[in-house]
Amino acid sequence: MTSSSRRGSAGHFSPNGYSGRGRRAQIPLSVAITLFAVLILALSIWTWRSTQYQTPDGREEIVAWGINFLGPDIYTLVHQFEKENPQYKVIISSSAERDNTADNQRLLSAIAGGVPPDLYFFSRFATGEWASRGALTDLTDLIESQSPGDPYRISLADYYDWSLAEASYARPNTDEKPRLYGMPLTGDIRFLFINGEVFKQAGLIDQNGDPTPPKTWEELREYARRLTRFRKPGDPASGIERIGLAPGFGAGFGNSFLYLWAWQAGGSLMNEDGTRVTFDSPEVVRALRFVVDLHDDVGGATNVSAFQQSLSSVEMDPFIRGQIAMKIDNDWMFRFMALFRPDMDFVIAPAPLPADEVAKGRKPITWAGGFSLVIPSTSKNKSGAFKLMQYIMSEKGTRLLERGKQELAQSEGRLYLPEGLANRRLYESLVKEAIFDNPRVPQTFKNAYRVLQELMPETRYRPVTPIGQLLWNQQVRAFESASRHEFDAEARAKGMDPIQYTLQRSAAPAVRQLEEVLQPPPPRVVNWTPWLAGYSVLSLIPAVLIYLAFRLRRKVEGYRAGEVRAAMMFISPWWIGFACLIGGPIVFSVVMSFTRYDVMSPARYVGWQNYRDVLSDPLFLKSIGNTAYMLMRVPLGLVLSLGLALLLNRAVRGIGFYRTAFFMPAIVPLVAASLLWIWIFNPIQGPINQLLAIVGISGPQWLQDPAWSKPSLILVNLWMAGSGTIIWLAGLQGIPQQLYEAADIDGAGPWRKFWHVTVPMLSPFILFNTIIGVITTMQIFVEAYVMTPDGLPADSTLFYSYYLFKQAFQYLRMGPASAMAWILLVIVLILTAIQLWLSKRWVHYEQS
Amino acid sequence: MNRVERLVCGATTEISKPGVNDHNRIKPGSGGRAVCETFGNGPNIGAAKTLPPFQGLIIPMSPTWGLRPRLTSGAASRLRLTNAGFIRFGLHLLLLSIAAAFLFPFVWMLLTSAKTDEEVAAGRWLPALPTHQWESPYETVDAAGKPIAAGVSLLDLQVRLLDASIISLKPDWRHSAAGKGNELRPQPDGTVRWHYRFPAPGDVAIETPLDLPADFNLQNLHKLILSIKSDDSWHRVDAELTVGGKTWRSARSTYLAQHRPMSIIFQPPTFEDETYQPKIWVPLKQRAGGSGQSAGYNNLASGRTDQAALRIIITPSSTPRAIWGKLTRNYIRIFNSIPFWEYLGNSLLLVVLTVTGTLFSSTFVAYAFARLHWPGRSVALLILLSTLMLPEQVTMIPSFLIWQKLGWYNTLNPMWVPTFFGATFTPLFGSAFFIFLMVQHMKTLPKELEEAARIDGLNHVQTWWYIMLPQVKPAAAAIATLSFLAAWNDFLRPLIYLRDQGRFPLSLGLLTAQIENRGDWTMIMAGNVLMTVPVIVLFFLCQRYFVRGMSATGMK
Repeated sequence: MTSSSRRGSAGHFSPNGYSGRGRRAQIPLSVAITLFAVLILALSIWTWRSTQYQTPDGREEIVAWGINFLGPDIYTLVHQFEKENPQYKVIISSSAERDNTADNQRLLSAIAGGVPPDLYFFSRFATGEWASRGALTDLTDLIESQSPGDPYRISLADYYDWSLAEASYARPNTDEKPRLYGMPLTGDIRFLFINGEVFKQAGLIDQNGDPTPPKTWEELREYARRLTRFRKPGDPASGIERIGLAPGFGAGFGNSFLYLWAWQAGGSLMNEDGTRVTFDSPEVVRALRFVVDLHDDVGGATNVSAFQQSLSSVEMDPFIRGQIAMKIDNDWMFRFMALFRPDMDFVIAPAPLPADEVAKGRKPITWAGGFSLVIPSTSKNKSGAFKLMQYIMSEKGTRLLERGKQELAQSEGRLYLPEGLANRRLYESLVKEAIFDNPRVPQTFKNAYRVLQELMPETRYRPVTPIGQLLWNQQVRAFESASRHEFDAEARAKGMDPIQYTLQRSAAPAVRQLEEVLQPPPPRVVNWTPWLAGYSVLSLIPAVLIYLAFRLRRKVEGYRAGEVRAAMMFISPWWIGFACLIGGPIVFSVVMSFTRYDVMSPARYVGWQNYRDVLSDPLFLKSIGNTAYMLMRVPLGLVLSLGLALLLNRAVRGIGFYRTAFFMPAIVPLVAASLLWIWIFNPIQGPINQLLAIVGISGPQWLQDPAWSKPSLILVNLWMAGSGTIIWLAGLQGIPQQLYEAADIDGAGPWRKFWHVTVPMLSPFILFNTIIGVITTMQIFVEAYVMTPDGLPADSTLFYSYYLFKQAFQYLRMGPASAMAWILLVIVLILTAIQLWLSKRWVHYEQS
Repeated sequence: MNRVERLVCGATTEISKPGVNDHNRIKPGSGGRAVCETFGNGPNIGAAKTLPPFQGLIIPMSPTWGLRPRLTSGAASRLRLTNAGFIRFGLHLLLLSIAAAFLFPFVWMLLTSAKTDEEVAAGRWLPALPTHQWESPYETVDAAGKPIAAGVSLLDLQVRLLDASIISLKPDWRHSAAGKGNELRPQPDGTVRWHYRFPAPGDVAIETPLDLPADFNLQNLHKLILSIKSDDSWHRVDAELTVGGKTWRSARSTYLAQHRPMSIIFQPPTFEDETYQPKIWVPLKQRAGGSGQSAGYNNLASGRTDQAALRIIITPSSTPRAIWGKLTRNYIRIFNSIPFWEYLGNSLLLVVLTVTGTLFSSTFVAYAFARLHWPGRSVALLILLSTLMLPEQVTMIPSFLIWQKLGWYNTLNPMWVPTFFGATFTPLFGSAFFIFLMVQHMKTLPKELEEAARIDGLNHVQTWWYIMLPQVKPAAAAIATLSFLAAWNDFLRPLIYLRDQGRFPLSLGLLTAQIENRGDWTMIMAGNVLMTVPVIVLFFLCQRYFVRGMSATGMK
């Protein structure tokens, strides 16, 4: 309650005043109602028109999402396509995803709603996950039934085998032959990048003076040791200045992952028929041990992460800057080299194998990721989508698209370096034209493309399995925990080898999930009709209750019929909105929390299973821990904004300026703010670390260091918390001056006045802000979603809502996600109740 | 290139010997701080760096460390610090430095949006300001400070037809006014160096006949691609294409930015103008009558479609013009890569509807909670508040199903219709919160007015409209601002509910462009500025109401 609001209301009213007032400042009610009706009418007409799906010219629509990733000339291509196939109209929509593998909420919603795109640009890696749920169209027959004379005929023989295999899926444990669910487009493979300058300085050169790449694991490790430079020579603890081999992964630090090391050691992460997670095989253990050794050689994973790629971001790759002598990365790296250092001296080579595997005569191995085009199984225009797919995959289409990329690169003054294609014939001819026969391309890139082309056919791919995403995340976890020696003590206590123990631990969720997939689904399918009917009845109950309460307690409470009727009318918009738009989804999510539901197939009851799973999930606990940590921002923000308000309350001049300055951050769109802070936190290019570097402090890795990621997010939050200042100022100005005068008479110092006058008078504000702060913190999402995707690094920013989001939209497990939502509600309710209960002791309400 | 470094010296001993030279000013700060400001990059930078290096950090010292005894008498008499003045001065300094810290990210955003790739790669703090170059090639330093020779080279010329075929041209460049430093020097690698000098004829231009095939038809021309190496002079390049007696001129100029090779794509109106693709090309517009300027080959070209000429013109940029060109470059890139005005229109529509809806629902519903006496009121309020606590992700799918069943997929409706019913989900910016704020505010208002109104025979709706609304204006202003922000910033729901890019609001459109240009920080920051400026302007305009409103709602 503030004086200003009272002042505002005083004098508004004179006995005949409303009409007079209405003339001056208010539109008559009838006019308002008319305007309102006109608005609603106009909008409904507009809506009706914009939802008419028939295109005016009667053409069939093909909705294609994400194909603008194929370069700017996709529009020319579509134009050509429409000219040749006048019966179709193509609607291109950006897939607008931060990351094509992990952000499925848009596609999933569209599939659930029965309005999927007809053609979708799809991370091939997820084929198993989505095909196993029947979400993708089987292309095998469509391809076989192409007419031989079709100029856009897709010939599978042109494609690298691995790309087709990764786009095919057969249910594990069956004799089914794999069916093709997507047409592979791209293939990015991994190899060893070598900084030529560093090698030359270290004398690792052959008689021609060219760098000599390591041939075996043993050599690799030796080179890595030799090329690593510490700040104080010979003292790893002093910090790494340059790392010989980036042993980890992440943007700029490489892209090998445990998959590659395991294949090199002769093993794999999953068995051939996809029925068993083989993290426990001796080859995988050996691979992980080697990775851990690589970390330990340079002072351990903490040391590495202190140095970690984050040293710089993708944009200013540490390899380009010479801070990494060798790394295993994919050909996307070329993009950044072309952008920032086209003249760099570098060599690429196949990633080496262990010496004994080389001795066995095994060839170098690499693995590919990439994208496919898929047709969702519920697409309404499959034949049109397939036609467009053919067109895009054809030589004509591909060349057109590549040319577009080339023009784009060159219009920005960048070198055009074609990225890997799944179509071998086309890829090789493109590389020949754009690289080998192009005099403008530096020799380094020509050599690199030679190695690349030799390596391409020897490529493996990640197992096509319904649990692909989880398998991926768990191998990342194993890699991280083992190199950080996270579970060493635990393992020793159990008398186990730490590496084996870590692998076993990381494999557990994947093993569990695979079991679930392999078993027949739970028998009881959810029938939504009774739920709907029940809910409709339920939503009428409040009306009945209110009526009963009104009849029974009329005398006691003094309800008046007219007033209650009016109240019902005033409450009705909210009640309708709540019943339809909030209550409905809530009931749905309650039911979902007791089912197994992946949106694409019917939900099935599993009882309390989801709650049990969630509560026993170590990541769940971790996410609660992370979120609890973030609660720190509530008191910090409070202290900061209150402090600022106290300073401003001294009636300084220019208060308007300061107020604006403190408030401005709060009105910046959260996404914009997040993008801005990624840039500010950039460990190399960012201003903070540049400033610290001037002082001689090597700044932390901010968002990339598990120890700093949460404080970084809190910092961003404090920046935005200045907005509270305005509220506090209002509160401070509402404190009657007499109270301070009285305190003065009692001889109270400034400190005592603060504690005994200011704080009690502000306490209702403090309580309110704390409660809201706790609620928003428990739901913290967007910052993490934009700034530290996937909870990186090391799950340190995996917050509750984000984990929930991942469960739902990444692992397609709506059941556990819903269960988590309800657990969250309980947690927040308890926290709020505690605060309200505690508030009785310290919150002071004016007796007015 | 003046670098201004602002240093805060940490040691009082340094203060007693003010200034190494005239460029060095040491200002007495208060609260025991001294502020050194160093201008220019003369020897003083070195001197400053030998100080205990606490750049940008404020080292708090005890306020009792008066500066007076250490200052020269002149300074002391000027300042004449009383104790109160001293404290106020310190207060201001403290506030200023905190304000600077708060504003710094904005400054950084603006700075980055004015940089080039080269400057970002070199880690420069400030974008270099270009100056007028009257001659090219010229000696300069690159973004990293290394001396280089900048010059323009013509690399390549291609014509692309609408059927996607390419004609590689062998241009025969000639200067329209050779001599006086204007010349073309063919290089062994097939490129041509273009030397030019101002202010000889104003503009400089070169021309070449285009050796187009006999069956060339202008209707088939898709684009003309000129690859050049730029000289970072920020002069402007235009093209004039003469085919069959008609002249087409570029509708906007391209700046000679950075030192890299780049290609300029000139394109007459095509189907691509209607698409949502990034418009990386320079449109060509037909000139009325215009054959005036390209005198050289015009006669040759006239009448026959197979003979054509291309004229490339460099218009000199004065220093302010060059600076303007550099400052706006990344913004122009954003404007070209998204249909900005269309997105903005969608955003504004969404914002207006959302704010209207929120104001309606919050005041209407709050009236029942705050002013009317009915059974179940407190329970209903609890239910209302509890919706603040559920994460919205979990209702994403079911909500989608509802809207889709209503046939409102791919419309803006799912974003604003709920606001009329007080049924948006997000905490802090959700309707429940707004209703709650309004309830709190209405509760503080005196009852006498309504009682009088009832005696006058007003019904509840009339009371709400004529009595209640005028009194809740401050709170409504605050709620309007907050809901404006919510609608303006939301990207997750538009992402799910909208299919056609033409319906995207600016938040999603910009985010999409930013995602597709990952790593292109200069452009991302320019997009951020465009996203942020409207809200800041709005805030400035309604700051007064907003502040009043925030205090009125009390947030308690």
